[in-house]
Amino acid sequence: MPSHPLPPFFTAPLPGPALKELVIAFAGNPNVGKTALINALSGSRLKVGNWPGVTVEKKEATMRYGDYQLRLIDLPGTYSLSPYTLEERVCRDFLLLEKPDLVINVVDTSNLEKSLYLTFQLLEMDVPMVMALNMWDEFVDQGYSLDQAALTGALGIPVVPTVGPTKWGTEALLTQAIVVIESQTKGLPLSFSGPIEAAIQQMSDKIATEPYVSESVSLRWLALKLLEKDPYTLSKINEIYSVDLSNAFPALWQALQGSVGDIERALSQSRTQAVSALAEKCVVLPAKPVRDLTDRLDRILLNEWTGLPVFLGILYLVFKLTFDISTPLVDFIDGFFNGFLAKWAELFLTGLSIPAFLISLLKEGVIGGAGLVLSFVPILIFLYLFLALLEESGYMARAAFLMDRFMFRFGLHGKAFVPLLVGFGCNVPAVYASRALENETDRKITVAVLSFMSCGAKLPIYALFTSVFFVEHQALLILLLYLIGISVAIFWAVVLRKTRFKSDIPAFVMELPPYRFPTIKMLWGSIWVKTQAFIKQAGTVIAVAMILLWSLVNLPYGAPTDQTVLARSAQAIAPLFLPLGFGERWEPVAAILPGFMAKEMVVGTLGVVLSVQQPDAGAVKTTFTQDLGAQGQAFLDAGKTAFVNVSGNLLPTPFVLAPDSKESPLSRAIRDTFTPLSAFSYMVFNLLLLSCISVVGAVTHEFGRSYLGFILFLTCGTAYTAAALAYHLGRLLGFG
Amino acid sequence: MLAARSIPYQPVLIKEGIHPIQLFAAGSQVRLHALKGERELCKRLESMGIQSGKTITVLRNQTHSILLKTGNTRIAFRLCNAVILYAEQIASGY
Repeated sequence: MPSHPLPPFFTAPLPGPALKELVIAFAGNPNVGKTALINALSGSRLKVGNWPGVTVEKKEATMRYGDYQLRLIDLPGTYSLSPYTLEERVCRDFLLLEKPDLVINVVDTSNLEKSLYLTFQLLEMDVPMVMALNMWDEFVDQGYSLDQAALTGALGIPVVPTVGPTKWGTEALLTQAIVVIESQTKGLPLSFSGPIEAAIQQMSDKIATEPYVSESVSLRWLALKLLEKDPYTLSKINEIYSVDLSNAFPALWQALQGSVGDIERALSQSRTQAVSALAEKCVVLPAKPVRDLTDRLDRILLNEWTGLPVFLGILYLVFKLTFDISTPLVDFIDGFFNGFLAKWAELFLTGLSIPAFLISLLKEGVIGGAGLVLSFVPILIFLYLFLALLEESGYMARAAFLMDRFMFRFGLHGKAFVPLLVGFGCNVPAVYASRALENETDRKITVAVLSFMSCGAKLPIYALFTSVFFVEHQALLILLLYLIGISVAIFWAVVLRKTRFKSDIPAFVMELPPYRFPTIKMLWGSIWVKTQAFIKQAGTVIAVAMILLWSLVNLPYGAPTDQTVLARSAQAIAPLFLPLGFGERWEPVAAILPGFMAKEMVVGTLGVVLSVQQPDAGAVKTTFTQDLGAQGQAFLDAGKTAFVNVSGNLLPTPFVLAPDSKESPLSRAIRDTFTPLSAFSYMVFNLLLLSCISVVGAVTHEFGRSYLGFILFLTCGTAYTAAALAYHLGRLLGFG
Repeated sequence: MLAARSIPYQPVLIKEGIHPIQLFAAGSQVRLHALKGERELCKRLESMGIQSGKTITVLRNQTHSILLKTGNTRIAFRLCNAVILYAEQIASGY
């Protein structure tokens, strides 16, 4: 025995027996509740929605169950395993290459017949499987019943009724899953007609010893794919093993074709016939058909005459409520960071004798940056809430269907309408809202033209310039600017569809889910996941950009306004803006860069660089406690204002710009710097320029730097050209 | 009852009484006879439950798009030349 004590490493308790790690994949049609089921099992917050295509990439959650560590893989919803869509490829690749220990085939029990097509394809892959008869409550409520024993007997796998959101049946599902994994029970694949079965057997015999056949891939499945001449399988084998099988086994293939005709179609028909027969055998229809609420609602919501007005009304409410509720909260956050926090941080740091430039950097760069990021959060939360409500109720799919016929004419998909509309409020959530489009090309086109939708932050620029130069026609001119933005967006959507993204608009085929009441848990999960992602990803980019911008505006520290890096840069590039009418002076150019960070800053920067002396409100000395109390009061006031905004009036308020009774110093400086035509050109330039650095963060997060580069080029080029055109056209028409 | 529409009729009459599905009025019950067109799109529709031999209800039939119901599944799709669904009427629409 050693006399000295053992180091902690040796005295630490030994870990228990290692947990056995199992991988369970959840596969099923879109919108059958796979993600909700995983969330119910694991307590995770993967995003869910009553909207087909919510999960495009595979997602994962982990949980402990007895002596097992379970990795639950949420595969994208697919209707089949034919590798035509991205979802189908992701799903099939995972099942083939990563070989999960078990597949839980989640089906919507009310739509069992449709779900069984995929079930038969999964069985062909020869993986251990359990079927979750999800949404069992809806199935029973509709008066249906199911012969579970017959279904189990036909498929050779356990079937377990479940209700995802309430966790009902999930314990039984996990128990069955473990039993199947441990016993390695596999289901019964579909038996095809005699000639097909014979061909499968012959093909299996021929390829059994080939290098591309491994233990991890079912021989029967591979034989079937080769008979089908499945393009994806053939290209994968060619890619990995350099074996071209596209014209292999011609005799076998021709013999089968002679017997059954089109092989792929014959296989597909065998599956659909088997599906129909099994559904007919197992599902007992209700004695008296239940009146379907979805059909009744759709008669109004999808009606040729009422559908569109209702849709526009709903969108108006979403838009109005989002910005009416969040604007007071955004103002509060802005005041909290740039007023309270910046003030007390400055006082605290000054007390510590920190150099002035560092205090300025922390105050304006770091605290200002954090404030800017967090000020978007209320807008995002409420926008995501209303969008989640639309998604989970099942209405979003209908909205896409309604709008498709209009968007189609401009080279856009029906689902692009929502992000474009959201863009009028703020482009950042609009970029994220484009996730509703499952086709990458459609998403890219939508996001590319999104910046031309004039966001709310650009309004102060229009308000300032129109109040100085176009006071008689302010509202008309602002409306004209919005129309210019929409026209440019349509122009680029058509051009991009015909050039860079040359492709036909994908066929609009979409399952419309039944209307459902969203649960609070699901709504909150959806909001939380998206908002958290924004703060993490876009926040990083914005914070770095804020610090960079501080350097431009303030360095060399203490130098006169016209000697800073920003001023010198603006002076250097100002001649480039001569064709736009506002390049003769450097100040308008200097305001563009901070405006790129946040469009609200254009007006503020113009005030600084034009050396406008803002009236001093008079500093009132307050204590920290008084300021903190004031912040509490401000928060309560913001909440109250938000409530009043919502409860007060949901009708549109007339667009009124408060007339300036007395011209401000800034207005005078603007009048001295611009002409009416160069002011119009300046507004057009800002209208079409990428909104702000937050959009840069969002686009980088969603599409990467390369596509961001393209969007920057597109928006900058368009803004420059359009502003130059506006200026010279104006001169030609005698407005110069 | 067939819907009076100006949709170009494809003269691919498979059998007497069989027409492209967009010619049936909303509310009609039809039996799907065949899906003709791009294989990929046909397969996608088939896997979604729009299969030959199935009884389908035309819920909405608008100029550019159509909403079908089979079982408890509602499928919306834009009418295009890429795929044509041929069907025969079982019961007339509204």
